[in-house]
Parts: sequence; C-alpha cells; structure tokens
Amino acid sequence: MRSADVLVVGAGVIGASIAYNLARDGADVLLADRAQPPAGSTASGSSAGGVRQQGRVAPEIPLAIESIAMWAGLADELGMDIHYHCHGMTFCVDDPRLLPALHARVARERAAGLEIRVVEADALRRMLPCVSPRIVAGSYCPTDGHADPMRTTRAFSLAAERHRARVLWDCDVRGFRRDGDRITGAEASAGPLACRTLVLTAGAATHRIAARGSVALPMLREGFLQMMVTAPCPPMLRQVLAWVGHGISLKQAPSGGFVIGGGWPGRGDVDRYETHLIPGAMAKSAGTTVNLVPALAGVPVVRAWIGIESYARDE
Amino acid sequence: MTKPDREQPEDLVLCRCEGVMAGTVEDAVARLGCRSVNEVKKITRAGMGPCLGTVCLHLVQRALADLAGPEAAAVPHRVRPPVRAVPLARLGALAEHLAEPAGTVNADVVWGVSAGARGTVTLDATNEDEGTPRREVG
Ligand SMILES: Cc1cc2nc3c(=O)[nH]c(=O)nc-3n(C[C@H](O)[C@H](O)[C@H](O)COP(=O)(O)OP(=O)(O)OC[C@H]3O[C@@H](n4cnc5c(N)ncnc54)[C@H](O)[C@@H]3O)c2cc1C
Repeated sequence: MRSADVLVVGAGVIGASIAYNLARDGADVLLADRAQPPAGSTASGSSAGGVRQQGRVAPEIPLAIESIAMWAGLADELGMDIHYHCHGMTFCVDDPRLLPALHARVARERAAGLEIRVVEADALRRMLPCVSPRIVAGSYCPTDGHADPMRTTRAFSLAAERHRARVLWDCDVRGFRRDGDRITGAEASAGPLACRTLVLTAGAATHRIAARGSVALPMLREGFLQMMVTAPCPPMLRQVLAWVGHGISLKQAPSGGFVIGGGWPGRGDVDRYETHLIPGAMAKSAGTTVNLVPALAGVPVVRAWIGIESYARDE
Repeated sequence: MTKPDREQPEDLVLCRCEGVMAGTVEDAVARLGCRSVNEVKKITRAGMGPCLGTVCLHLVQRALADLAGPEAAAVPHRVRPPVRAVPLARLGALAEHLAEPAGTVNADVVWGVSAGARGTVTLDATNEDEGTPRREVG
C-alpha cells in the first residue's frame, strides 16, 4: 500500500501549495488528485487570477497583506513564470450615493494597514483613461494585481515534486480509512492510501468527500461562476478593475486578452465537474464590460467557461 | 533537402495567434508533463487565440503523439464556447433576447451554431434566467 506522513487530497492551488510547503520543510508528502490539475472547471483551473487585498472581509485583510510579500518572490522560489503583475486594482463607482460607503471601506482598510486611497474624477481619468466617464470615483490599491492561476497551480505541484513530494494524478479519492475515530488514510481509484495526517483540499468536492467519512462540514456550498476572455488587444489596462454593484472584474492578461469575471452564474454538476454556460449571463457580462470600458465594444469574446467554487455559507 | 514536416524546430511558431513556439509546447509535454491538448493549452496558451485553435491544435496533438504517445494525442480537445468570436457589444445587445422562453432564442450568434438565416435553435442552456452576479469579485 502506498503510504506517506501527509496525504493531500486535491491539487488545486490550495492543496498544491500546502504540499509544496510541507515537502520543502522536509515532510513526506503524497499529493493526489482525480485529474491532472489545473483541471477543467476546478476553481484553480478557471479562476480570474486576481491577487487582491481590498474588498475582503476584515479578518482576511492582514493575511492578504502578508501574502503579497510572498507573491513578490514566488516565481523565483517556484522556478516558473507565473505571470504575476502587481500594478494595482481600482473598485469603480458610478453612483454618487455609494461614495460614503466607498470612503468608509477605504478608511477601514487603511486602519488595517492596507495601502489604499480614494481617487476621484480627474485624477481617476488620468490614472485610467480607458474607463467610462460615468465612473465618478474609485478605491485604488497599488499593491493589488493578478497572476496566471493555471501556471501558479502547476508551479506549486512541480516544486513540491522537486522537494520529493510524490504526486498521483487521475487518483479519485472516494472515502477514508479509519481506525476508531482516527483517519488513517483514504480509499482511492489508485488503491488504498495510508497516512498519519490527511489534508482535504478538494475544492467544491471537499464537503462531499468529508461527508463520506462522516465528517460534516455544513459551512460549505458550491457556486458556478462564469468567465470570458477576449481576443488580444494592444496594451491599455495595467490595473485590475471592478465596478461596485455591477458584477464585473476586468483585467488585461499579458497575452493582451481581456479577462472578464465578476461572478455571473453558470450551471453544472459538481460530482462530474461538468459545467454549462448561461448565454443570458454571458450577454449581461459583455454589456457590463462595454459600459465600463467603451473601447472594448468591438473586441470579440473568444472563450467562455464556468468554474466551480466552494463557499462558506455566510460568504 | 527539405526536412520531414514531423520535425518541429524549437524556433518555429506553432500557435500564431498567441505567439507560442514549438519548443515551448514540447517543453510543456516533455518537462512539465502535460498529457493532453487541454493541458498544453492551459500551460502554454497555444490554441487560446482568436482562431480558437483551429490552426495549431492539431500540431499540438502531433507533438503529444511524438513525445507522450498516442493515448495523450487521442484526448479530445475540450472546446469552449463561443464557437465563433463575437464582439462584446453584439453579445451584450443579446441580453434581452436571451431571457426569452424555450426554443425562441436565436442562438447562432452566441454559439456559432448555424440554424439558417435567422432560425431558432433550442439549446438546453439558453432558457435560464440570466441570474444576478455574486457580490464578490476576483
Ligand atoms: C470563475 C472563478 C473565478 C475566480 N476568481 C478569483 C480571483 O480573481 N482571485 C482569487 O483570489 N480567487 C478567485 N477565485 C477563487 C479561487 O480560484 C479559489 O479560491 C481557488 O482556486 C481554490 O483552490 P482549491 O485548491 O481550494 O480548489 P480547486 O482548484 O477546485 O482544487 C480542488 C482539487 O481537488 C480535486 N478533487 C476533487 N475531488 C477529488 C477527489 N474525489 N479525489 C481527488 N481529488 C479531487 C480537483 O480535481 C481539484 O484539482 C475564483 C474562482 C472561480 C471559480
């Protein structure tokens, strides 16, 4: 039977980075995934790739600030270009009634130690000439940015392997092995796996797998989120943009394509990682994009997809 | 003497839309362990450009066959909609039509499905309410 000190189930960005960090520190790690990540429809294989500190719930802000210091050296550390770009992010506001809330959030996040400020009217237009004149203000955090989620995820598992972690792709974990109330391993398509510690990082499948071991994780549920990307354009946007109340995140990838997210829904089946786009949601998302950056009106969408994310029930 | 065309020198551009070199694709298969056209696409961007992979993905498949064997080359390409590139403004203008009830949506613009001049197409995904975006953004 294959065995390891630590069995990590799920090699998305979370499991792969945990496996890497443990292996680097000398642990004997086995990393197993039902596919070869970044697999289709998993969160890490479909993410918008925003590396964002602002706009998070209060307890996350210090963690997010600390993680930016790690991102800066990550490509070198992992030995792979993960296309990390730290050129800032602005949450845009078009409705003057939302300004008090914008100022209040910025004040809260500054107090938590984040470098962020409100940028208004002319200054905003100078900073972001491509943005529609309907935008009256924004919150600008210069240390937010974006990275390529698929390269980042792969970089972590490759680096884990270099530190002697063993990986098992196409290994579907179906349940747990137990000794009394201790979990001693997993039952998987590749056969039984023994471990002293099991780390369950299976994204949207996490609570389902946990339930098979009679471990209830009632705080989790899944969401199907839509993404689109356009044909490459000349460089015109270095920052990441969001638009408060309109459901959009927008960035220009190094390849020149605009990556459009923002949480429009899709449909699907978590167990099979099968997803379906909702054309009406694609249309709404496209319209929102043009309203925010009018110059993109004639730019074609070349690809759309859905990713499955898991949430705490209270988000 | 002409080279046999199976040989893809490293400095050959394999995906013209995204400017991906043949050597980059070979590296993704040989060193990074990609085992399907979908994995190569995600890591190298080959096939992600405006032509939607129609020009280059068979070359990726050939590299897979050479370097990883026929099984890897046989994994089908997971095609992402839209089948044809659609300008953002045109897609956005469809919002009102796409909320229409079953079977009445002219889906050819979105999906590249041609159903005659302005035919109506029934697709299982067209009849949903477009929903509302979630609060969180990337
Ligand atoms: C569309 C979308 C856009 C997003 N945009 C952003 C963004 O801009 N910025 C940001 O910070 N975050 C974003 N997120 C969130 C972010 O992508 C996720 O938080 C992150 O990728 C979660 O990683 P994970 O490893 O927990 O899960 P996943 O990436 O889902 O990984 C879970 C892994 O477990 C494996 N697995 C599942 N079941 C089994 C099983 N039975 N046996 C073995 N393995 C199994 C899967 O194959 C998968 O590889 C976005 C998410 C989505 C869906």
